[in-house]
Amino acid sequence: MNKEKLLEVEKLNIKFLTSIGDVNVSENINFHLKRGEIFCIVGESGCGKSVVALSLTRLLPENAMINGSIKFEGVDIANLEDKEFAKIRGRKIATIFEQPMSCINPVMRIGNQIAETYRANFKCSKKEAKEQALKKLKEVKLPINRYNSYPHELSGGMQQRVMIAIALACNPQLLIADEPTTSLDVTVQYQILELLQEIKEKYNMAILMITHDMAVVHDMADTIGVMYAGNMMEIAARDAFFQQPLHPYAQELLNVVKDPCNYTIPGTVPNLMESFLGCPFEPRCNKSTEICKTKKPEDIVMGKRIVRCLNVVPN
Amino acid sequence: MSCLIEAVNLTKVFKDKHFSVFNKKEITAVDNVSLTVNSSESVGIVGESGCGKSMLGKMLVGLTLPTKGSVCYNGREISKLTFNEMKKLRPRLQPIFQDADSTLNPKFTVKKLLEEPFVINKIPKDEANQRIDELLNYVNLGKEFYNRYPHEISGGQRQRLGLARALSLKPDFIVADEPAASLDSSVQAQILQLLNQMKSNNGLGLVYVSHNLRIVSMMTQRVNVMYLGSFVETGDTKDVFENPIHPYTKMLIGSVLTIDGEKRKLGTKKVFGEPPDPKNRATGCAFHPRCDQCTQICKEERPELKKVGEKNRFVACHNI
Repeated sequence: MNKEKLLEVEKLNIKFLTSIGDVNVSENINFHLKRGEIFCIVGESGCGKSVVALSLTRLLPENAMINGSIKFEGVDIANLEDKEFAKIRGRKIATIFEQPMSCINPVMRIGNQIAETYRANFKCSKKEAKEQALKKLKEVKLPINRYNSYPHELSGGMQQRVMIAIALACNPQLLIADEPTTSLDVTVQYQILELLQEIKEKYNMAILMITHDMAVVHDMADTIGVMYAGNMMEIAARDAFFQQPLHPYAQELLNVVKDPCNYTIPGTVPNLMESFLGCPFEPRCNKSTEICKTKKPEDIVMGKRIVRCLNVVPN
Repeated sequence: MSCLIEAVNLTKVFKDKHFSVFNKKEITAVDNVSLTVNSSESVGIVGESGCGKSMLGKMLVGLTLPTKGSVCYNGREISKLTFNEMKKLRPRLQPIFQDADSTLNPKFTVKKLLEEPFVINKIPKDEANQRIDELLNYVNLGKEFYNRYPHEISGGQRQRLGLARALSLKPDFIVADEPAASLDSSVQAQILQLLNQMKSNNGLGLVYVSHNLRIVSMMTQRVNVMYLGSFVETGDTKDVFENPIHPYTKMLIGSVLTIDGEKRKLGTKKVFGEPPDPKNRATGCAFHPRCDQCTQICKEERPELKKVGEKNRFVACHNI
């Protein structure tokens, strides 16, 4: 299996300029993805995980200021012309979202929507595009006779499959999945996650998955990134992470998920409008020291792990 | 333990307006369901979306009247009460919804929202104020929240406010309909712990409606698994989760993702099909199109709940 780095994000800073002040949603984020790898970003709502994912395909609103380098297949795509970038978006990097109905055209037959995506990116005849669409329908395990159905005739799980089929239409190398199963039933979620893994195996694709559900992470991830208030607090391989997370926030988060009836993280998620002098997690952290209040933590690399905490001693 | 709520043969039928006068079609949302809840007990109802679990919850607190069957609160049938009698009873039965936002008037401040139940039930102001202070303390909201509007507080805080409102008149029975589904895991934990506290401190009966099986397994003593309007398996939570009998329960529990243990291998567990459409209910056992143990009788005859083993365990399946 080809294990070269497919995506490299370095020093990514994202800021929203609003009329009432700047909002820092991403501070110095570094991570990379290899082919065939599933990278899960996990965090609470408002921590900036979706913004990071959207920034990769330039889907952010105009008031977003993006700084840093995003290398895809060795090319810095952060500074590409829009016209050049359009050749990558959809064709090489595809995205699926939580709500399928917000992405699918409600008045267009689903088969045509898959074919349309293919035709928009590759010049081909309608017949060829239809063949490709049928192939994709089969791949996401939808019956072929659904080609002429409208989205409202399908259940939520099937709509999700249609969206995956549209994303896969051009055989992308990187699939960004933003909370793909949050609104689904457990039984359907199970099937969709299985489908994503099968597709990944088949095409040796990389998947960047955004979720707030630790159980989904446990099920899917090869590598995990824990985000909190715009900071990537810890990046670790799945097994190592679930054995012993190193960052205090990751530890607390895991404890809460394991035993929600007896464990809480005190306090609430900080407001990103305020700028932090020290570590953003400091007010809620049970291991905080004096230095945490005044000094911003930096990434500490420990083998394959990266931890952003002042109290972690590199070994 | 006394029996707080007793529901017998509850059925709720909706008429589908899309069909013409000559082709009337009915949808049975809840089909012949019986349930009892004791005080200081929590009972879970689990199932996929559209199985009727929320509708059952609404009938239990009297928000919707059943088409057939009865709900008794301490021996009084609530569907037969007059409007005024029901008004007196309402404070005893309270619902908590998934989306607290939809229950909070956006033009009211937090203080006014909390006062509302007391004003409606004509409770003197000083008593009400004292109770409000208690409540805010209980759900961990400070006095600085008094003058804020619902949109000025976070989702978790809104949910806690909803909880405080439900608790304000000291109910005996609460139906919590996915109270923590839309929240982050750390906030979710706060809500669950509050509910647990309430149950043990105030001795109230709790019905926990959810599709999150992990939380139901932690929160409840008894659990009812619902499929397309009727219970397919009921029993003590521990037994049901450790040893599921009905094929649907097995599938449902099999599809729950855990956070310990090994990574699952592809295709090891069998989960198939989509949640069913109540408009086209399958004949016989409603689950048979998705069941891998389906036989001829499953397609023809509807299974009844049968007692299995010695404990309070009931399963509706032909093949056991």
